Amino acid sequence: MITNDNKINITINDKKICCNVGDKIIDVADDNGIEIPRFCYHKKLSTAASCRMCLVEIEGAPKLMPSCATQASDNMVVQTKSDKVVASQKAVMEFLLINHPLDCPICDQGGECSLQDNAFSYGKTDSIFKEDKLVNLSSDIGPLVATNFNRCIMCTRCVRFGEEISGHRELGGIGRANTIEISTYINKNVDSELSGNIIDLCPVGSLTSKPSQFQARAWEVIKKPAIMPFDCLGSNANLHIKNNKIIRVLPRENNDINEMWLSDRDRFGFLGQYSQDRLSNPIIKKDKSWHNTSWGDSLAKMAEKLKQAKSSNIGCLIGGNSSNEEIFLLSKIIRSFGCNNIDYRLLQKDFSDNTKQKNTNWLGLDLKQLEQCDSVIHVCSNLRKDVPMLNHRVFTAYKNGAKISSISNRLYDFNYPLVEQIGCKPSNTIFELKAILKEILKIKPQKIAINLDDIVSTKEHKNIALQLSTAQKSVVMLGIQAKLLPDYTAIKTLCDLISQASNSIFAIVPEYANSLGAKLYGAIPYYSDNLGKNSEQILKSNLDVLILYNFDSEYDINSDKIQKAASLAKFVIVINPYSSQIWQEYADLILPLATTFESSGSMVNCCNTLQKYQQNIKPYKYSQEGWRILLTLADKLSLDSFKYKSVPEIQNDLTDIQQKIILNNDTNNKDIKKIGIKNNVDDFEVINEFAIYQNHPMVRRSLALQKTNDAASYNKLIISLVDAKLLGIKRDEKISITTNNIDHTKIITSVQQSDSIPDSCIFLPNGAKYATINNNTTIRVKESI
Amino acid sequence: MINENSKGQIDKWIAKYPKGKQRSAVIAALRIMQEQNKGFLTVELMDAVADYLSMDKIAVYEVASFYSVFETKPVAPNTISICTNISCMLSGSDDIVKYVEKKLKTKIGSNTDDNRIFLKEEEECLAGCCGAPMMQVNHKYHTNLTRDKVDKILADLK
Repeated sequence: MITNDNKINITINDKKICCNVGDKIIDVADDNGIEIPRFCYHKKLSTAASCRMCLVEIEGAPKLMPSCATQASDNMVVQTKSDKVVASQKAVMEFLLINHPLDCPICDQGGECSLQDNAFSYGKTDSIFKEDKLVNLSSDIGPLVATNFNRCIMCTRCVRFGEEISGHRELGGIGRANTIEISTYINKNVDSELSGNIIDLCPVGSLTSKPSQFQARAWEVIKKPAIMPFDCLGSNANLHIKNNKIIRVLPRENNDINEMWLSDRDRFGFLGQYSQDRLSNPIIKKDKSWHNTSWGDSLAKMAEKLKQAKSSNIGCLIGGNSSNEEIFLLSKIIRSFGCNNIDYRLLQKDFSDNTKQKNTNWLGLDLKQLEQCDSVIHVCSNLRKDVPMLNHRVFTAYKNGAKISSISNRLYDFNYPLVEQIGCKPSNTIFELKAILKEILKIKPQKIAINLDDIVSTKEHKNIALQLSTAQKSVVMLGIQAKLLPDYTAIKTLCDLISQASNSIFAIVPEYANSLGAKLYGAIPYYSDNLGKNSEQILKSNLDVLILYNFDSEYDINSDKIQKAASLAKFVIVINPYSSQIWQEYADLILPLATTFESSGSMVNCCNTLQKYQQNIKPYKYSQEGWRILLTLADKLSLDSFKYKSVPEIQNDLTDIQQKIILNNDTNNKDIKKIGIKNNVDDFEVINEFAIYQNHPMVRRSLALQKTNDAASYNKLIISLVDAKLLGIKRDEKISITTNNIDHTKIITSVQQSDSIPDSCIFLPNGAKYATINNNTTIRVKESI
Repeated sequence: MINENSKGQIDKWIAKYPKGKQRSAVIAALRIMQEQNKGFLTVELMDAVADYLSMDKIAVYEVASFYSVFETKPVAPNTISICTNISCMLSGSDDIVKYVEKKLKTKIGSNTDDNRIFLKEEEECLAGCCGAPMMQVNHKYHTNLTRDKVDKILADLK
């Protein structure tokens, strides 16, 4: 009998179970600890029912039924261990093993292989198959996933993953019957930013991890929980560690954050941990050469220089991927001198919202809510590559019927269709947003203190306005690329006005793994009542002491400016895991910092979830955890109120602070009248971007990720087809670009002409300053603020 | 890639399906493109079909590689398919296959040396059992085959 709450009773193996109408038998069995073997079924993917391993006997049914595709009905009696079922399981195992090679001893899946486990538990010891086995050759599908299609049992999980989760199907079943094989058909890489997940999905050793190939056996590794520091989501993962070395990273299920997936950046970013340029011990510059020194001496020296410095002449820049504890302690130390010159916004150009207002900039909703919204507008966002797992939620919303549009400076490739996609020059972004606001005000008239009379709107703007205004629950999502624009504050204010006018949620995607923590725990100049210098001002100041904490000098900050600032400052202290030529040249004291995986700490993700993590591996050589360095420094400075002895003690204070702060994305509406359209200039406008595999020092050093097509696409100079014709540049022509790279050498790169970029705009490879074509024409680019 | 004539034909097929289900026309589209290209599909043609029907490219490759009517490697413009299923086999299709192979100096699944005739891979039942043994030459059925009849058909091809 079906009860009012849609509950029914079924019996599995004489066990009476209450479940929901529509539940699949295999799910009910899983929930109740009854084991049913399976290969093709996966709870996050659609049902294929092709492997026949999960067949069960249902009373009244003439044949065995696949439990993954059969819904439970009231009073159903199911047997999973009857003679008929066991005989069928044996037959299916024999069938699946027909073409499977006996290469378990050299297979990376060995020890965690469903085929091994099920053959052992449900298979038979011999086979009547005497014919020749089929051979499927492996193919190269990129630097991340190793293939051995000989081992494939055609469960098609990887194929379904492409269609249903990554949103772009790259693998397919080619051919038919006994000669079908999983393939990309043409010789190409699997380029999805989530491609690593097919390694986990593959129940056999057909798809394995390429970077960790042959490194360890499943039973040799110790699994330790970790939080991934490579984007603002903080995906949960398990590190697999052998002899104090991370071998691989696998997802840890957390339905509130990353479900059971990991982006490739999270999965393979750790490889940069073992880069050759790790700093091994503290070094100090004496008479223009570097000497090893002890931790005690170096921190005493640092304390001495800090004490001697004029409080307003101390400056501190900190990477936004640092832990809460590091941010909290460092900002507390700086502030103990009465100094507020500390900032994490290293690449931001516009600080006009740098007010005392506690502006926290977070996502504004949790991920479940994001999945349920029915309209999303991306503003200056390449979300698919910026925060892959966040984009996965938007993709889920799309599958639930949401309409999505985008306004950005490049036409990005999303894995869902867009209602409208507007590409505009960076200086025109404000105009586009104003036009949308104007259209919304036509649909929903209301009073807004902004003059929109001279704005001309088009059909596209009207469609976006309609999409927002007619939705039940809509989101205006300001992406991380906006942070690099000279008009950031104006864009943010307009997004806020658009969301207010259309009754949408205003979501801001943080640019670093711990942007929120940096704001909550003091790595901003407006944290206390006295306004300090922001990163731009710090870089322009004549400082006594400049502290540079946990970021790369080449890409995480404008390297010209940091070189100038460092050469002007009297004493430069670098605390970083990796060395750099710029640091070597301009710093006075360099201290080796442990990476996130080598430290305990916590981070706050974009949904304001505080996530703690433990030290998983010992720090490299003499490097030390950030919180230890900073506590020792506080001790050398004889500062009170640093009585912490462990990370949990610090975290007690952090929780108090987090609870006191109310998060909001409000903008300072006072400045609204200052928003204006900039005059177009003859010069090319540069489009800067946070690139997918350049956003974190460790990711930057992960060689496997740097070999992907996604990484390579950022090494090309891109101009529009019209401009290319005007300048006489051919496709893939090699041109030299002068970069602000370490030694100011010219690098040769190829040109890509594209209609994804607006006219008179130029996308330069990371770190490049300007381009010289054929050594005579120079594309002049507008000097950014 | 897709010429105007083919576009018109594909559009007719798309119109047969509900709006937004244009991918249902993939088999028809591939057949039309194979005809346009005189007998076989290329990756470029399949990509064009994928773009035209807003499908993932791999999904088109899957369909093209699944059905034996689609040739994904270059073949000669004239195609001969000899049925070797049960009715035809009982009526002597094996002999016909051997005879054709010998006469054209090629094997099932290959082109002739002058690249004029393609002998299609083992063909399943073409639903002409009442006229067994039979074969299909460039979409035309020839039934009740004998060696003499085959000679005449092949001579006509020249």
